[in-house]
Amino acid sequence: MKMLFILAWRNLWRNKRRTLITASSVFFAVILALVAESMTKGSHEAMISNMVKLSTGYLQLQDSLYEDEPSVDHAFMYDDTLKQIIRQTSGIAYVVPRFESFMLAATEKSTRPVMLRGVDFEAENRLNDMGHKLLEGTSLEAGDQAVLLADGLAERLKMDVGDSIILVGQGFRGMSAAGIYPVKGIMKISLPRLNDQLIFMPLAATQQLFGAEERLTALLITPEEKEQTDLLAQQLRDQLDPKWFKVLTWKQMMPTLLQSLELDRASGMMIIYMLYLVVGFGILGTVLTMMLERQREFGILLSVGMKRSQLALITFVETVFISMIGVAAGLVGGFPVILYMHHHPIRFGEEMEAMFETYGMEAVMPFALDLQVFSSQAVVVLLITLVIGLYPVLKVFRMNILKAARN
Amino acid sequence: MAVIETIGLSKIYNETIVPVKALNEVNLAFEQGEFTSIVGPSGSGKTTLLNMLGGLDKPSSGSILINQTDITKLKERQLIDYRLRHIGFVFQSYNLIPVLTAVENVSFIMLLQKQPRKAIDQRAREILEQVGLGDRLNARPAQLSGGQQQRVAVARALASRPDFVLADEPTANLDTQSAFNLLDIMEKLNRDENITLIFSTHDQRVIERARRVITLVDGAVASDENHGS
Ligand SMILES: Nc1ncnc2c1ncn2[C@@H]1O[C@H](COP(=O)(O)OP(=O)(O)OP(=O)(O)O)[C@@H](O)[C@H]1O
Ligand SMILES: [Mg+2]
Repeated sequence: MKMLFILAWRNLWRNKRRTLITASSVFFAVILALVAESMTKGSHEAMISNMVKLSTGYLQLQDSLYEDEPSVDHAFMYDDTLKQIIRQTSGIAYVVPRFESFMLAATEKSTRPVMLRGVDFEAENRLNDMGHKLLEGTSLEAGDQAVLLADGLAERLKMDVGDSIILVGQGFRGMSAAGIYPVKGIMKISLPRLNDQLIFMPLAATQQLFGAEERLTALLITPEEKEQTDLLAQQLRDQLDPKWFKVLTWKQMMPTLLQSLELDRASGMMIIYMLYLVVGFGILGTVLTMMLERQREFGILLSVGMKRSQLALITFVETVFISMIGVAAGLVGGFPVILYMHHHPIRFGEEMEAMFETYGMEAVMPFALDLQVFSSQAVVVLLITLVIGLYPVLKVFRMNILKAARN
Repeated sequence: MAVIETIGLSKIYNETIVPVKALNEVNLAFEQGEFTSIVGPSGSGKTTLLNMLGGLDKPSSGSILINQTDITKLKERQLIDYRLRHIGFVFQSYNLIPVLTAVENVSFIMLLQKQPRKAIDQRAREILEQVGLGDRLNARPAQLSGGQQQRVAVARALASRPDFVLADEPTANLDTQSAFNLLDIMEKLNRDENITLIFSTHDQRVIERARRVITLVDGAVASDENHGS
């Protein structure tokens, strides 16, 4: 047995150059695949986390009817029973209560539909560092009867700090909601769609405006581990009466984002698989030549009493060795590259920076440092190798000993 | 009792297209410890006969008894095992595995036979010394002359003490001196180890070295002479 492996190993180095060229093609393919995958994964993660932070949160607890009909009438009671359940569920880092509704904003000159978001600023800041993006004015205290405007909206309404804004809308269960509030600050929101319509108000003032004390339209829940989102959602669902409550994950709330990311990933994978296909044919070529060159040797080996299965094993192991050298080198060589890129991501130029900033993202190409990316590449290449390795095995089993020995 | 016996052994190539009768009703018996050469003009069937005896090819008719076992009735898997345990082979050239050293090449068959490691090492050294290559144990085939390579091949064939050794034109690619030298070694090993040895040749220089000379013409035995020893 050991002899067979020694033979396979030494056979590889009979033609060092060829083996090295073949192995390096695997090496480069693996490195390229690692870089491409880590880049895709990194940018997707950044996009998701950005979307999640600014709009939906990882998990949302809603009234069971709110998703289909997002009206304030479907705001739920955030009472002690519910708070108790949340407190007793493990794996929750913190919660972010919101009361959100569309309203009409009026100034002396114009009216616009706006999105009023009643928030607990402290909790909101934990989720998305909202405070850092205050452009003008001051932030709000929990007891304030005042608002902050997103800067896109402020521009459209031509309002500034110190002006007053009139908000009119439908209150809870048929009540009317209307009020006039001073603008205390202007904020930058890193999602263009939201930046044109968002108004922040302290949660208490909002609930009061709508006549919906203690009620929320959504409770955002941040899990301790992002990966635990689905699990946590399930735990909450088990504890809450589905007649009244619905627990949604960001995946359920942003299905189109998820789809487009998956499409992007799939097209990236296609290119990588094509690369692997080319590399695979390269290995096959080498393996084929190695077979042809040794017809006579194989004939002699089989004549003197080597079993076909033993000879087949040698050729198979040779194939696996070649690609394993490439894969191992690729993984080992790729790791520091990805590690470096993870900590020192590529910075984009200034024009790009502006575009990235509108989306609230750093103008960098983030690299994910995920061991799964490494292991999946290794598995893919080894699978391809196993398939290629079958070719010489079949050949050996079909070989005519005499014809081979006569070559 | 004969180690090998052929009964009505015939081989026809291309039976369906243009039949070539390579062996025609050959009846031969080889005793334990014989040293035999098979001679005859090119195309007379020497290689064909050796291939049949070695179980590398199936006859068209007739049987081959080796120690009373009819090897023509064995399945390919059994034949491979049979060859491994009972027959030694020396081919015309490029016998050796290029990536293995002389001593590894000689050990190779014993390893396939799963002999104990210690015994293998000892035997491989011993037999390489007997063929005069005690100082080239770790040389690769490419570092050896043609004659030395053939000596390693002979050592490999005999190392596992098979029932008999078949050598098809082992001297064909050697100069006169190396050819004589190889035959001397084969003869010595045949004597010392009492291993039956059959080699084919059309090389007049080495024919006389054999104690028994079988001449084939057109696939039939034309003469079978004993020179004694
Ligand atoms: N695989 C084959 N297919 C068809 N005919 C063959 C085959 N092998 C050998 N023959 C024919 O069988 C006959 C005997 O061939 P063989 O090789 O046994 O002769 P030989 O005595 O070994 O000749 P040489 O001295 O040239 O090696 C020849 O006529 C040859 O052409
Ligand atoms: Mg011949």
